[in-house]
Amino acid sequence: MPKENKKIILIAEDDEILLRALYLLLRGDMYTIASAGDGETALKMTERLNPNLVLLDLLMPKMDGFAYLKAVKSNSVLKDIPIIVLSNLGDKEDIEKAQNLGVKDYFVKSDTRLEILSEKIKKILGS
Amino acid sequence: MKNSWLNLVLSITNYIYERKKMILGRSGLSVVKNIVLLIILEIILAIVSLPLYFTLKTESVTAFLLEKGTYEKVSFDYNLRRVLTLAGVEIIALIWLVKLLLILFLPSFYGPMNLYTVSNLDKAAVLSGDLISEEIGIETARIIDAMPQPKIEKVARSRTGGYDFFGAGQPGSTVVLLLSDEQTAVYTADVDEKGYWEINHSQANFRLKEGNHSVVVFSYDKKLEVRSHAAPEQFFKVTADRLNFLVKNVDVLANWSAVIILLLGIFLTLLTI
Repeated sequence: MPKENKKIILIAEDDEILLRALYLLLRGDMYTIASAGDGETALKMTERLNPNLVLLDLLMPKMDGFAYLKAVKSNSVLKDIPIIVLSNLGDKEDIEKAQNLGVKDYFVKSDTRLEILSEKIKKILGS
Repeated sequence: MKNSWLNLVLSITNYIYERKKMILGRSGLSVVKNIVLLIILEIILAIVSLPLYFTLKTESVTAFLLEKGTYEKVSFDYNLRRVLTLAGVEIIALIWLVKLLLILFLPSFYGPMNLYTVSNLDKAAVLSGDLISEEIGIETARIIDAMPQPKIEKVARSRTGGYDFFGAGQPGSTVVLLLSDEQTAVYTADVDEKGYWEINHSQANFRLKEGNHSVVVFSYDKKLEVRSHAAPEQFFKVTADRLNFLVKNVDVLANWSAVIILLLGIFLTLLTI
């Protein structure tokens, strides 16, 4: 696939190992993977890259995922970027809060199989 | 396969997260127990996730920037503390793995694994000076001036890390070779019809230290209890090869790596206070 057509996925995850695992899961000809280890960097990179999809952790340093979501959804250029949450937070309130902020899907890490997450991403990106 | 492995990584990181949550706000012995468990889990995670560090470098990725209409490098973030901790754990794990493999597969270099102790020795395979006379009676053997002396023609390193001695002598006679270290190893060999003999020394039986060692040969006739004069003493040098160097240093490395990681852990902990 030509580089111009590669879709950009931004992974916002502060756990290095998990970041690498997700990178390995998603990398390939289809996607360009960018990553951020904290919420502030994730927001800057979102503004700069305008990614096709964001995979977001909620518990991150500097700026948490909820603050990131508020900032992105209030930005007219970025608000339509599909965001999937992959978080340790599994409480109903957290899930509802994230859904109210407009996330496309919510995965709790302890209940997630990565292949399901991968399929979901492919479906959203239409690839 | 890849997905199963990545799911395992995810599961362990989740379990660690849950365990960390359990410790928060608690005190007492159960916390200590949980911290020990966390350390074990982190080590397991480090080992399981090790291929991630081989397959993926912390690198820049190229992305197409809409605002500029060009490709640019975008940094791939990493967590320095985690990397250092993992690197430390992995170094220790690798050193101990090397050590274990050496013990299991190269006992001739490392020495056998000591699973038992010997309390009573009947007869040693390699003989001390006292046992020489019992075994071959050379102390009582009469020296015959006319008996031809054998000679050492070549010393070579064997494939198994020992030493092979080659020489010539009277066909049909027996050659005795004395190899000195703190103790003296005694070998005997029959000279073939062409007048050649060969003796193989294994480091597994009797480990020669690094440095110069003397080797002496003479002919011996057990039936007549006579022997020749010893051939002039010769020397050969035992040198450490890379494997020997590794064997010698693996323990030191293992111990120092533990000390360095401990200091690094204290330093990183202080940074977080």
